[in-house]
Amino acid sequence: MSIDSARPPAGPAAVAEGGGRPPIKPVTPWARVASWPAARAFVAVAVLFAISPLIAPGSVSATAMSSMLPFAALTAVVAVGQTLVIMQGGLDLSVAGAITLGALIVAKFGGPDQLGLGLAIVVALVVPALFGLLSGLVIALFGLPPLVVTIASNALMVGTVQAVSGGYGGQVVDSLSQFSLSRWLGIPVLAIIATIVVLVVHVLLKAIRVGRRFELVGANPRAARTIGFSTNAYVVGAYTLSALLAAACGVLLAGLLRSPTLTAGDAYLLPSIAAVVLGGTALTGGKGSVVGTALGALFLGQLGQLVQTFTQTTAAQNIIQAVIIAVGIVVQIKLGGNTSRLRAMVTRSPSKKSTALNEESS
Amino acid sequence: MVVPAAPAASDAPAASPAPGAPGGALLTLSGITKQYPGVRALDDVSVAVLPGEVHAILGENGAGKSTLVGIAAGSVVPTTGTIDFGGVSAPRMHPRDARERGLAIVYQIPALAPSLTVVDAMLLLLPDAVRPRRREATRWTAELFARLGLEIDVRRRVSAISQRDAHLVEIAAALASDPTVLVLDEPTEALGADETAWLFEQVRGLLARGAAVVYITHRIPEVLEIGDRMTVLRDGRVVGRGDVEGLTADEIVELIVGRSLETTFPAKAAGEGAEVLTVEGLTGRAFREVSFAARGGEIVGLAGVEGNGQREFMKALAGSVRAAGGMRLNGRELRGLTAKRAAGSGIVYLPGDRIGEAMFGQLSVRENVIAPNLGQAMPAGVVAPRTEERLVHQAIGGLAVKTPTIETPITSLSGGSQQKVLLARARLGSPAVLLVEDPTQGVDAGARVEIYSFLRAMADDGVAVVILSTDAVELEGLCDRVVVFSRGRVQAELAGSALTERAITGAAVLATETSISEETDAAELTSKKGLPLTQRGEVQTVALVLISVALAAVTTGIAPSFLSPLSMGQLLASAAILVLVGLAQLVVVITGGIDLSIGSVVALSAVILSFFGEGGPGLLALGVVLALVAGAVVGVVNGILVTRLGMPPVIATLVSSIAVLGIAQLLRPQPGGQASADLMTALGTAVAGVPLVLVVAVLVAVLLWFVLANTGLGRGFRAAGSDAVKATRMGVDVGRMRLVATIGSGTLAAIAGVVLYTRTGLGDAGAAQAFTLTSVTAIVIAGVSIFGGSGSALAVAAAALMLQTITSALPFLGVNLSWQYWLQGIFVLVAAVLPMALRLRRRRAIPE
Repeated sequence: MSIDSARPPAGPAAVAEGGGRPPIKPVTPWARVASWPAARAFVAVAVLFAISPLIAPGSVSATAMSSMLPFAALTAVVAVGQTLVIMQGGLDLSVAGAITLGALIVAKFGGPDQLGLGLAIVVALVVPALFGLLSGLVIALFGLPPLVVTIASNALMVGTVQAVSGGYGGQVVDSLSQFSLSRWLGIPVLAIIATIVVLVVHVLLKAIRVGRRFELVGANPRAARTIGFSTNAYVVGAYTLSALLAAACGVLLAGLLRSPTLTAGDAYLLPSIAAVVLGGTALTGGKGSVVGTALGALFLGQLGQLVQTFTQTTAAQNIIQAVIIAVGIVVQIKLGGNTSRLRAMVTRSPSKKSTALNEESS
Repeated sequence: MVVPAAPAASDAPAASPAPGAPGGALLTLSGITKQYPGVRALDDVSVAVLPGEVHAILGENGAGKSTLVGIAAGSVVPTTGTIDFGGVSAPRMHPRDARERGLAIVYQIPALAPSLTVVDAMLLLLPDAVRPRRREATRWTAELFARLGLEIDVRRRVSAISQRDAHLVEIAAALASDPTVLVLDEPTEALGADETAWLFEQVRGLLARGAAVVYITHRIPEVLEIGDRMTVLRDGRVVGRGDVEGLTADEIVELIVGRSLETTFPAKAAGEGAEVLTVEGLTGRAFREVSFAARGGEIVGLAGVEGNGQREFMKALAGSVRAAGGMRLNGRELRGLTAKRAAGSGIVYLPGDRIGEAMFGQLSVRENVIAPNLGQAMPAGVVAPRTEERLVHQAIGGLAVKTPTIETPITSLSGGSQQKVLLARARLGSPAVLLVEDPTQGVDAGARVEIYSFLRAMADDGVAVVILSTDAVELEGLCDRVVVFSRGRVQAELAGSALTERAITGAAVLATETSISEETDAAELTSKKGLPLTQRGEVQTVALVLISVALAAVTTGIAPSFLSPLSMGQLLASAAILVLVGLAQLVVVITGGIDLSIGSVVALSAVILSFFGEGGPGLLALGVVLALVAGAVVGVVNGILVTRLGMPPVIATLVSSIAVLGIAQLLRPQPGGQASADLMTALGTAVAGVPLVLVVAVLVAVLLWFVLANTGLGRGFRAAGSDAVKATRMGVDVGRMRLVATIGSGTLAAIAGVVLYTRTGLGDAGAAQAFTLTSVTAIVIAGVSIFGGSGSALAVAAAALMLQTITSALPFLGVNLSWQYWLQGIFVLVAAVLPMALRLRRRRAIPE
């Protein structure tokens, strides 16, 4: 029996591998653009704006823009926080409560006879952020599913809203509402604020060590722990920042609405998640694109604008938007990435077993 | 005699059935190819299994053996090829069909969903023809075990028995299903000598009945002992096949390895270096009192039968698991070592689970190399793309990493290239100690040679290299010294000429306890003794009911009107709604999902019914039917979004929640559709003071409890939620289970909507959103596992009763409405954190 005859190309291949090594090519600029996670969102936004005038004339007019942009900006602010959480493989269902709580605190305590606007804004940001901190600690330390924990912290914040408001909405001071409605160089100030938030977070994530570690922890927390990262800190930070940004959104929303209701934040939960997914951040966690998220928020804003031209009924608008969001999410999921990690969120261990499941189930 | 597959054979276009296989094969795999992203696990493999033979499938780690058996059992879908089994020829197998048609499989890692009891698992695994009725199943299983001599309590959960016992359970189920083909994947890995002998005896019994056994192993002596014919795989191809008889162990090894040992392994260390890492009396959860030293310049191997503490010991060296005892690095004391401190002191650890614990799979080669070396890559703290690029090229220089660019995601590389990238990044950090678990797992033969010389070069540079391997040949060839573990202690330390493959395996399998006994009493296997409290009936249910009663008593003490018939009637009727929404959430959560559309479905159902509230009973019945159909339709949509379109359950149900609420608002922009007074009276009927609706809700709970606990559907639900991969291997159609669950949830939520309408008599789209939160609160309080897999419908009903008692009591106690939310939030957090906190404490505890 000859052993050599029983050896398929493994032997020669080994030689080829050791000797003539296949060259590692440099990355072309075009490949870099194509691999930008937000590329798809960018195209979608461009197409939507291009076809908007064809569907509804006037939907890209200056008036239409200035009524749409503030709401898209608010969605962008809360969705940036949601992006951070989703990058950590989680999901924050408590943004609704955090927005409402931020809005109500500033409305109830912003008057000169109460805390004064400045202090009220600080309280309106800090209190929800503390609830976010609580969610983050529970999720990181006990390994509980983010869904259940953020549902609970949402309940805690809604309870606080009830306690703060006594069951009735409030009226914000004029200065805040004037600010929220103001423009700078003809651009709604909320859009400018949102742009600044997005750019700052983007730079923090992409340009410094902490940002890179944040991405790595999200991509695979166990591998990050193996190489010595304190993964819990990043998870806790994500939930805290998410609540903080949601609260900021609430403060600005209160200015925009003047008298925020007790359910003011509910309308932002789904858009905050949809903007992230449409923006190209995988629900599985890992690398994210806050610029993509902002584009996703812009897309949703313009979409709402278009739907409004067809029906004035809020209920019908909600249905149409939900359907389009569902289609968009399914397309994003089918085109790239997989959802194993998120599915695993309600089951146990992260990536490992669900990857195997994807392989196994046909 | 062995027929080596000539290289030309694998180039032949269509694979004929395995050469030399006469007709009448029980199982034939022809031309099987399995392509994974970046890896071809199997390439045109054909195997024919004949009646009465033990057909050994041999090969090294990563040769494709387990993929092949997965394909035969239906848990892996081949890219191309056909499978002939039981008279059917098909491009793939389904796990359930395989089992029904007489193929039984025992996986290397037992595929038993952890939250099932042993009896449940048996019932799921057995084919229809053999399966006993549920009522007799416990006794039947106990008698089977007694007959086989297994001492395993059949009422325990799979998660509560050892992996070895789980293995034996799977073997018992396979034997009991009277298979025509039995597939054993590395069956003796977890078994001791007695158990192995027992297994072989059982196998011989099967062969005598004309069945065939497919035996996957890397233990050559076992092949010689029971193998008749063999097929040898290397790097996914058949490299040899034929009769076992007449071959020596060495010949088989050569066929498997395809290389002679001398040439592949680099020369060993010339002299001894200084001790770098020293451990004295280290004790962890799986190992005790281990003293150990790794010297600079040498490669030390850790060996042992799986589960004897060597893996945990290596993790302890890396600071990944806690351990007590003395550790010194270059003479410096390491106290309370964490992964962070280990990495900071120059201990680099490469886990064997590359995808799970070592790589950042979706990220590029560059990001993976830079990950642990951020300080070098960003000296100023700011990103420096050119520095990163230079470092990456420097790191992988000299290693044949096959990747198109450094921006390519690492998962798309071959196993060998992945491992090289990981080794390269370890070298970049100039470690003092390099710990590598399973260095060549899933690595092809060519890359393996390169990895061996890389590790040796690291050692020659003065690094203390410690490797853990299951491959004794590798340990013998590569290591200067090998430490063999048994039962968590160092059994032997081999070096120099004493370091041989035989000595390593010999020391490893010396002493192992056994679960096999000559005489086993079936009655002892069914006792409730020693069962955890949660498994002994409905403890939680009783506790929750008692708490409700106590709360009601306290409230009555403060405000006696709480006990008035009106107040009580309202409490109990409202509790019915909570019971139903809780059950709706339960059926989804137990299958591993979540449903956030429950509140909206309740609203939609009540709104639909409100259009029929003023008609007669006939019209009302039509309304109820329409409402339930609507709920079921929402469930179907949710199920399709999740199972067919791959949407995560949270997002799917969040989207549908908003759409469904929109529909309800469109139907009833303003609350309306007042029910007639007659109707309200009729529906408000109470039976002995208990509202009819609560009776209905409790009956639903009892029914659901029975279904979940005692039927095949319930077992499927629990298995799917407990571990989807294992459930699939057990033959459960996980997708279908999840679809049925979402439909059930939608329907139950719709019933809750009907009850809501009978309470309020008004269709109000906005009045039900809070039920989503309440449904989650109810299941968490009821002790339903939020990870899926277990939960009691009765406990959920009791939790709902308690929640409603609190809600109803609050106004009587003069407490602010906000407490309703706060209490729910606190309940969920506390009820969810408690079991996790206890589990963490147990996991962290180190035996004294």
